[in-house]
Parts: sequence; C-alpha cells; structure tokens
Amino acid sequence: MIYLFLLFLFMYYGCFCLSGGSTLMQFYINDLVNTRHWLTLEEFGNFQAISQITPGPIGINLATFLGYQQGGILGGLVATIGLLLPSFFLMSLAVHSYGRWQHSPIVRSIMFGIKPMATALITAAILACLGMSIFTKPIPFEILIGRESAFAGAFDWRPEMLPILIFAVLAMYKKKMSIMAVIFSSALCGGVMYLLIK
Amino acid sequence: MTDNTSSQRPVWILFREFFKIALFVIGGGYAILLVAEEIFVKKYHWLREGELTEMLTLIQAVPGLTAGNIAIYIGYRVAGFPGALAALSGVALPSLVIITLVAMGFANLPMDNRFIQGAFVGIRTAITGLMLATLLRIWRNSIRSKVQLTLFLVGLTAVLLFNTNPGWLILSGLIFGLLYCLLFCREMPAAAIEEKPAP
Repeated sequence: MIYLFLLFLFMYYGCFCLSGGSTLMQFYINDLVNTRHWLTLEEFGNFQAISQITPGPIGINLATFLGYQQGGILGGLVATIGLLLPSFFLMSLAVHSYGRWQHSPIVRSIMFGIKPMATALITAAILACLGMSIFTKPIPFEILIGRESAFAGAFDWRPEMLPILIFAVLAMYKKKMSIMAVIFSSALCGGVMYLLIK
Repeated sequence: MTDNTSSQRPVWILFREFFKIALFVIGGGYAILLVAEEIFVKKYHWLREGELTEMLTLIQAVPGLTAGNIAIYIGYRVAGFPGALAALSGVALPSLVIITLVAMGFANLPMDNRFIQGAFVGIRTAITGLMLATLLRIWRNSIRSKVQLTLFLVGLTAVLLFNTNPGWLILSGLIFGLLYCLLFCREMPAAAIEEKPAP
C-alpha cells in the first residue's frame, strides 16, 4: 500500500524536520536518493529548483512533488499531510505549554546536543548539492576510507558556475536581495552560459 | 456572507488569509513571517506587535517547516486546534494544487534544450549558495563550545563516509545532550533556543 507507506515515511521526516526544514534535504538525499534510489541526485535537484520557483513554501512544494512522483495526485497529498502532521501536534502542544518548558533544563540540554547534529546535516546536504551544481557527480568521500565509490569515474566540474555560487552566498548572507531575485538571475545566467559556452 | 471581516468566523479567515499568503509569497520561511505579521497584527489585531518575531525561536525549535509552524502558531493562538488546522490547510493547499499541475507537465519539459539545462544547473547552484548562507548564519549559535564542535565533526563524518541515517544522528545528539548536560554541566547551556531567523 504505497499511500500508507508514503504517509508514514513523510511523518518520519516530519518528526526530524529541524531548523525550520533545513535538515530535510539530508534526509531526502540519504534516504530517497542514496538508499531507495527513487530518483537521482540531479533529478532531486531539479525538483528542488521547481519547488523554489513556484508559489508556496518550498518545503511543502518539495514534499508534494516527491509524493506525486511515487504515487500520483494522492501520493502528493499524503506525503504533504504526513510531513505536516507531526508539527501540527508538536507545535500546538508547544504553544499551549510554552511558559512551562521555555526555561526547562531538559529542553536546553536536548537543544545543546541536537543543534550540532542539525548543523552537520545541513553541511552534508550542502556538500551533496555541490555534486549537482559545481560538480557533475556526487563528491566521492567514501574513497577516504578506502571504499569503492559508485561515482569515482567521470568526475568533472563546471567552473562557469562558481561565480553564481559566490554571488548567491554573498547576496543571501548580506541580505541584499530577495531569494527570488537571486534564483531567477541565476537561472538566466546559467541558461545563457550554456548557450554560449557549450 | 458580509463584507465586515469581524463578523466572519476566525477559522475561515485564518484559512483564507494563509491560502493567500502561500499563494503570493514565493520562497517561504522568513518572508511568510513578515507578511503574516502585517496581516494578523496590523489588520486583525489578533497578535501583539513583535510577538511573531519573539516566537521565531519557538517556531524554529519545534520540528516542522518554518511556514507550517508559523501557520500553526497563529492558528492555535487565535482559535485553538481548529484554528491551527485551518491555517495549516490554507498554507498547504496552493502547493498541492500548483505542484500537482506542474508535476504533470514536468515530463514534457524539453530537458535536452541547452538553455533549460543551463537554467536548472544555475538554480541548483543558487540553492547550494542559499544553503551555505543559512549555514553561515546559524553556525555561531549552533556551535558554541568544543564539545559541540566535536559532535558536529562526528556527525558530519558519519554522514559523509558511512551514509549514516540522519534520524539516528539527531537521536544520538539528543541523548548525548541530555546525558552530558545533566551529568557534567554545572551551568546549563545558556539560551538554548535563540536563533537568528533563517531565510
């Protein structure tokens, strides 16, 4: 029963959706791309790109897209419901009892340990995303411990994308431009570069 | 139905306003917060001035998408569980409809076109950059001691080299934090949930 499976899978993602959704990327990459092989890293990147440029919050867009890819219209619906369901209960509970746990040592201790792990997941997701933007294949880190990498051969990079990367980091970090302005100008630059260079 | 907004049921207003917010605010997250503040503080006076910005720490600390958690927070504050459900449905519905339509047409996109290929690589690069900017912004608040830096490095190594399940990493971070702080810390880590807004 694919719909029930999608519902529970995305509920699981919803439980670990930390820092406003930033950790989700690594769950998708680790689980859907590397383990279940539902889609390739580049396809995932394209889904992410579409989710970013269409109306609606990117996290919900991406969940609908991934669900649709596996189970059609109903698949998109149950994936989205699954992703939001844990936060619905947890957040309502948190608002309800905010005063009681705001200064609780237990909550502080939990956050102390979770934050570095969430940061590590975001960092890993960035390194994975480099493998579909600046590089043409995922970076084969497994080689460091002597393991065979499926992606070791035909490793290439796209130096023409480096200016876009630097531009996006600076524009967002300094908050000089809106996300949409950054995304659309990068799309335009990338498209024109491909027409001119290759 | 009357034009007077105050005579409408808050649950319906929550649904409608969040539907509009999700439809017209592209990008999500922090952008939604600013628009929601404009509507629910200035127009309806349902929330205090600055309340949402104060609550951003809570919104970011509880598992869930930023946009979803903002909707749940406002919905619950205004009308309890039904309000939270209405706001959350409103924020999710545009995505469901639009993405389903886009996904149907996605297969017909001429992916062998050079310009489209380049545009997608460009957007993927920009997204990588956005995530990098987010990382830079949250770093100082997330990694405050050598113990936390060690945790970060262990977690990163586990993911990159051994493809460790991220869920296990978060759980082990949680358990480690509890044990370490309750057993060894004389002072509790200060301001556990205090984060700069992520984009």
